[in-house]
Amino acid sequence: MITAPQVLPPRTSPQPSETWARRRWAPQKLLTSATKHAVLLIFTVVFGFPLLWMVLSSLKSNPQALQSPVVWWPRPFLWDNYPNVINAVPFYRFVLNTLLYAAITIVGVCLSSSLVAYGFARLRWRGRDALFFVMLCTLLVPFFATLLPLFILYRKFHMVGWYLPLEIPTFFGSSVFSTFLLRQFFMTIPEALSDAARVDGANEFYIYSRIILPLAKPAMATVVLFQFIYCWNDYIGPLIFINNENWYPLSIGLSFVLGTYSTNWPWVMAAAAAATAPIVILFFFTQRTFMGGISIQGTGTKG
Amino acid sequence: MKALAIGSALTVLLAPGTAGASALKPDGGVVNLTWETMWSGPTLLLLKQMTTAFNASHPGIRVTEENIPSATGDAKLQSQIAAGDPPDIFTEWNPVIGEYAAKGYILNMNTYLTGAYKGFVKWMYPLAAATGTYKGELVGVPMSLNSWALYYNKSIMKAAGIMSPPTTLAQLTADQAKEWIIKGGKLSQIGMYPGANGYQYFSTFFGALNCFNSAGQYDYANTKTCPGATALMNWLTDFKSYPYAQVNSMNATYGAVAGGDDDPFVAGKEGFNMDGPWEGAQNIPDANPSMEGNFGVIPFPGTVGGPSTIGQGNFNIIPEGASNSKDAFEFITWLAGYNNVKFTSNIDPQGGWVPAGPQIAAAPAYQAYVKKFPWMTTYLEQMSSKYSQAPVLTTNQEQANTAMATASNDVQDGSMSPAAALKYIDTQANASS
Amino acid sequence: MSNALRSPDAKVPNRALKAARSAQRRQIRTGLLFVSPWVLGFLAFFLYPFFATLYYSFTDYSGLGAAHLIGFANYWALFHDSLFRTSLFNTFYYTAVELPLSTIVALGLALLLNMKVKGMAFYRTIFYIPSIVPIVASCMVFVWIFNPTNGVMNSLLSNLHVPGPDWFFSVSWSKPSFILLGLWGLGQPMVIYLAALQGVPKDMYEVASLEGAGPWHRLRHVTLPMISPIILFNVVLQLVVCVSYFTQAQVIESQDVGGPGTSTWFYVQYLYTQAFQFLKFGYSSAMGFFLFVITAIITTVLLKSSSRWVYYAGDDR
Repeated sequence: MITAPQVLPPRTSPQPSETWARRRWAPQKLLTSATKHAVLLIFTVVFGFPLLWMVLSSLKSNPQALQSPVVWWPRPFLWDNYPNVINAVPFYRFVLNTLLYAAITIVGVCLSSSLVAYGFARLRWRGRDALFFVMLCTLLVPFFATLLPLFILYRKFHMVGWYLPLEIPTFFGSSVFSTFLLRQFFMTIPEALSDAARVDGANEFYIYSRIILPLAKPAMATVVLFQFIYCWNDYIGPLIFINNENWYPLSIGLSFVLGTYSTNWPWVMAAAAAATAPIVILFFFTQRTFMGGISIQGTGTKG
Repeated sequence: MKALAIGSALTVLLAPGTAGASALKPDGGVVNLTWETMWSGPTLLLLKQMTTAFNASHPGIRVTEENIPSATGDAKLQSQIAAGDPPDIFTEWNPVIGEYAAKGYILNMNTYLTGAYKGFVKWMYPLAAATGTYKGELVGVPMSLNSWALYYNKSIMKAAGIMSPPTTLAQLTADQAKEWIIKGGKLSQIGMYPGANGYQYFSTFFGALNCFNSAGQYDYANTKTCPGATALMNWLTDFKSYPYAQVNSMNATYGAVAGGDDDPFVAGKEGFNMDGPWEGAQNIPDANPSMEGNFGVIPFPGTVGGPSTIGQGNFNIIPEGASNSKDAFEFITWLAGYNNVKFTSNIDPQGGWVPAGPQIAAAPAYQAYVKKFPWMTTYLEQMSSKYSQAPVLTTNQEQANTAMATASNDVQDGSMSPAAALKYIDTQANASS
Repeated sequence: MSNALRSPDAKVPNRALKAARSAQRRQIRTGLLFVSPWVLGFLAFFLYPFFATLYYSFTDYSGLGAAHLIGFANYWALFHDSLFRTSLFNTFYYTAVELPLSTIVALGLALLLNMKVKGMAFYRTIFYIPSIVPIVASCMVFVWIFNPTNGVMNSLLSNLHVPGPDWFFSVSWSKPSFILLGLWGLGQPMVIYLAALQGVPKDMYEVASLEGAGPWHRLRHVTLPMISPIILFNVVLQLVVCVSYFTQAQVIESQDVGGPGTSTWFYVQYLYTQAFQFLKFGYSSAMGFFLFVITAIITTVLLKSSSRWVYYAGDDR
């Protein structure tokens, strides 16, 4: 049962030798370094193997990919699979569409979700928790159950055919994921900070924009990254609302490759790898920015 | 908010000229039609040829073809119809047409069967027309028709010591049994395995289609009025002893995942396979040219006394709310080949399609195709056979089909008895709300 | 102050009462102002479709044309529908296994990575990538690897003289196969756990160790409570993901919908089939609403229980 963090009561007067030992004592480790690396290595194999398989398959020729018993190493390495499949569909246009879609929704999410999260996290008002529960409940309704009325609604607003049905709601806090995440992190910021500002006469918006937001930079960076990745892989949404092929995002473009070249496994794998690589690179280089601790505690302020 | 303004401005600036599915008002006297299909692969090139040719020969109409992924294509179509903004023509798989017609989703085309189109229905194969007719109303026009026959692999047959292709059901069952190769528990060659298509596509060979009771409900479990259904299910149980899981995994290996076209027969690993002309006309040449010349096609040796096939195919429908239904109808008939025999007789062979009307089959280009691939005659024969049947269009047709697929699989993997399977089909098919 | 508000007989000056009430009103106004973007979106884009769906669940709506009210007929039909029961069972089986497993594994990996391991950036990326591979591609890779006859997994197992099961094509192994596929993608919750762990102030650990707390004790009484808000977050979201499982099943079992027997007919798949293949939108709306109610109950229980095990350092609530 997890309880609030406790510290043990202090021991009775320490002996001189114990004091000396404590100054040089390093915290005991739960696991030895070797065990840690062993476990990590096992999981790396488990997680990485399908990825490796995907990449290796993308470099094989089709008959080789289907061979039984299984052939591991491509012979020869068909690097050409990649340019071939990228040129077979309007790959770069799909990427551009996806980037535009992601950029707009990121702006929407950053603006609205942070405001809403602040209201749920840093203010106390009657009905707040009930409303928060209602917001969570909106996640529980299956998408296909409400699709038809939703589609009719969007058509009334003349939003069908473009990305608008997917973009405009993000300006209205539609990303419950982001709002929830930010709310949880805002709640870890000591109330004392806000109180001090209030005593100084600051209004809530000032506190939100000048105090809370700057402290929550890593959390916001997380939200941006996850929203980007969500847009990159969003499939069902654009499928329903976008009609014009020129506007399709990469996720749907990938399914075209699958449909068109379904008998060419290496090409399908190459397309998948090409679609994944950009966000992998993005993640690898940005992970430090938001990994620096998305809870305010990391800054070392003593509450 | 500033961001919102910039966002929508960008979207508007970068939007193409005409985004949206509905037909626009005639501009300069040209009617714009939107045609949505769910095809993928090499067929798309054929569709492009067709729209280009139509637009060239019909200056007052411009057809734009839009291709949507089939995964949720039904949802998209219905959303568009519900929103009052549908495409003018949509190409659907025929089993859903019954329920669409019953619920008012698609137009009755009888109103257009006047003047030059008076003889249109008679011009088609009776099977083609029947498959698109709901209670006397023409609601769907085929552009490519399916026909099912039995492919056999020549070299596998020879290796199993079989002299000639089977002519009776018993011979077929015995022949295919000889062709399975399972060594050390591992499957490397399939004799024959009906699979999920078991009930539906084989139904006409046993007279097991369109069994209704007096109240109009599906009644396949009735052994008196529908003995063929039981006979078919009993035949399917013959396949109980074969490793269901391994067969399916072999299917998956050869591209069956996510709607692929390839299968073990194309790869040369299956002795018998029920399929349509595209298998030999497209799949084999595209995926495994070494199989060309190594297969033959015969009518399935069923119990009804002659070649037959179930009515099936991709039918063009006009959704409710389409703005230019008259021109859409013109396009649909043109696609079927009416007043367009020469062009269609050249296109159909490329897709491995069976034509919608006998005139096309008789045209020189198609005849040349049949000469080149003599196995096509089997398919054409079945189109005019008296034993071929179109499934009666009902509101619950799709439910019946889905239940048939599940029941077929379950009978073949041994988890359902034939009687229980037929009862399952009836219960699911007749469920209403 | 609360006493004053409750007892009308007490000689409390009206001014104090009024001030209290208007302060409360001001707080509500400010709170609502901040959450107003969401409220507007909720009213416009959620409430109407939600109540429309609820309404349709009492009708025979097919998606077009008139919707005739038929009372609870859809709901009664649900309970007699064997496929409804099967799909509900399948989805909850999946959820009941996947949710705890993925939470434990993701948390475990995050804890491991948090222990100042060399090459953490690399490990973190490797564990995360599978969760961002496009769904269709990851399905295909898995189907291929777990192919009973030609797949790498079974060929490895046979080298170890273990008979490989039929994975996605076996009645008993199909759901576990999907669970494995789901677990492969737990990089996202893991990354969030890791970020939360790195935010726990070091001085808390120092104080704890100085008091003689061993590593296990530190884990239970410092680490886990400090990240409990994030655990709640991930659990709730993962619940939603599990319960609405659809795409992977649709892609992998496209040839034999529902898998071997009916072992992988998932709830949302059946809902989609009813709505868009059988044109029974009223019936599928009933299914949708039913799922909503069940999941809402589970979420309520989770949230209510959270006050006992979730600790917010920012405030005492």
